Amino acid sequence: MLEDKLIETIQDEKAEFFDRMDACRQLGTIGSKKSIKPLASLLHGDERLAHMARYGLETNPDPSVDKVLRIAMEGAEGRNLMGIMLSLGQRRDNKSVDLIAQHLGSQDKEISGFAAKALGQIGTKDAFNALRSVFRDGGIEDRAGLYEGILRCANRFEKTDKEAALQIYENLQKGNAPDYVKFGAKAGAKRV
Amino acid sequence: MEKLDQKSALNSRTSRRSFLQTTAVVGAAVTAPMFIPAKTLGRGNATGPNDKIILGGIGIGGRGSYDLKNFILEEDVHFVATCDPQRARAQKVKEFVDERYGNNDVKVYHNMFEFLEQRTDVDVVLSTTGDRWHATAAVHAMRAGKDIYSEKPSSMTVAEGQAVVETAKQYGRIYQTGAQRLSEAPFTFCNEMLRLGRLGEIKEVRAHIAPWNPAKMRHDWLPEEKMPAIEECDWDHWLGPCPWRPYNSSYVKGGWRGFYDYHTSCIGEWGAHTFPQCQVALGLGETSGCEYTYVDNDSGDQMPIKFENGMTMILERENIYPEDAKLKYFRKGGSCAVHFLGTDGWVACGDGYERPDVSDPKMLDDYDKIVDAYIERTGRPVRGSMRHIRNLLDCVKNRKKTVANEVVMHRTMTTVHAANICMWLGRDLKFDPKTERFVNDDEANRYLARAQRTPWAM
Repeated sequence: MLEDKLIETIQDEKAEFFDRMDACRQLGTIGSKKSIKPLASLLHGDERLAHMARYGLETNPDPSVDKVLRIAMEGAEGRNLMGIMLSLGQRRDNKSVDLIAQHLGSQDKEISGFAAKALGQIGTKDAFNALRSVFRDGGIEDRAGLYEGILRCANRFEKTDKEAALQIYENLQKGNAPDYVKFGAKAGAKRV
Repeated sequence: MEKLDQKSALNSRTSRRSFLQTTAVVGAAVTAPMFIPAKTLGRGNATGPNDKIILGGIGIGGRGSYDLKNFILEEDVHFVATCDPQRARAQKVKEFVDERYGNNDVKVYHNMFEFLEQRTDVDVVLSTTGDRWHATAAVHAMRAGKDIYSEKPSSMTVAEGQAVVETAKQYGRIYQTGAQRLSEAPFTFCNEMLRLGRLGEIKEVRAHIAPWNPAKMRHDWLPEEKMPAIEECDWDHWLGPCPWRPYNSSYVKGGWRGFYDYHTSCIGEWGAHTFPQCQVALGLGETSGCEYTYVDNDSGDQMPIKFENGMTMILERENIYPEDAKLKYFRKGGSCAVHFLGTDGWVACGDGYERPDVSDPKMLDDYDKIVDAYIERTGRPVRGSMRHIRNLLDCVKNRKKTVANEVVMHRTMTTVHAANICMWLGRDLKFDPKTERFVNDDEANRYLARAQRTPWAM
């Protein structure tokens, strides 16, 4: 069976690098539940393979993908950590909010930015509250990433809670946000 | 310290009512943002004279140079900076513009994030990277407060297109994709013939797809070559959000076409033009095809794509070159052509047609009148070269939607992506334009997005 061969390939450290990368890609469209743990085992290693592991996992509709991504947050660093947060954001996994929020205060601007953007993509009240707390404290390296996360939450709230969305847009216009953020907030306020 | 207290506002309905009353009184001046040059907003060091629209470029190569030449012909545009991970290309752009302006002012950047963060004075970004970067660069630019002209095909996946739409909405940005035939008089005339009912009931439309590259994509790697110095070509940046692969100089010289990671096949190559041309003409610019019928060939030639209103668009891979020309609907040499057949006649148009082909020459009697009426009705320029750029610049100032705005781009590119997926899977597909998902086909739905590589991801 094709999936078994692909899983065997990604686990074989002696296999050609191309074959391992391409097997991850193929698992992104045909991988079942049994491909999840083997792919997850690549999330902490070589950045190139770790990205392809996400490529194999992110589109898999099985909910256990969220769990392995959350587990993989522990100990992940650099680009791999950014990627895992990004994938959890794409999958809108509300259970990962606390884990991702821990990285909002990272001294690494790229990591704090990806954390903020992932929370914005999740776009729940929990995610917004996490962003709001660093907004108040000012404790984030990537201010633009924070605004992106907050605006994305407001954008999501337009469908579920217009009053909350409007309040965010109003406050962004009053504060010290860059002009282009205020511009977006003004347009958002007009919509709701 | 800023305040963003959601709770207090949620409990204060009076406050919200007051806000709404205030905006109602103040009216459009408050609620409809207009163009204010970046320098007026104090967002950076002004370099553009007389409140011109300040332009910067990303990834300007062959096609981009053509766009750039047309941009700087516009009197209200001032180009200030270019960004490219390939040093030679960036330098070429600088030399071209500096020579035209008679100075040495164009700044060169090699990292897109640095460019967007540092050039707060830039109002509009011209993005003419390879296809793999189009949507991602557009999203990053709009997040930095820029309006954008993005070359086509403007997304690699449906998810990328959705992100462009969301981001434009979120930041109130103006977006134009490079489907420039929507701003050309002969094509406009065809569209107007449909809109005015001059062709009767439309029975069939045909959209040209490129006569090179198959629909099925390559997944292999070209042989590894010695990596150039990062100052010459930053390969990691060039790859951007796509999967890593070893360096080969062919890719950076344009040899990326045909590869799954970088291209959208012969269908996307010209479909990024002809699908919006057809869909806009049919009044279907804000939806996507819903039924895709697999055709057993390499390219998707003759694939019928059905829309929710029952209209069918057929893909036509007519070879425009002399050796084995197969031409029934279009002229030889006329790329990116479309053909509209109605109960009362037909019209067709492609590149190089001074006037469209028509079933009855009398149809052209009103050509100028119809084109002028379109300009009058929409305010969109279509007479002259690359008025598509003028349309963007006008919209940057009046904040109206461009003719090839982000929604038209996304919806028509979704039709491209779904047609490709149909060919890749080798089976008929049904797509729901409302949910933007394939119907009862989990495998097809897994092609709608691809995990992007950090730190370039959107």
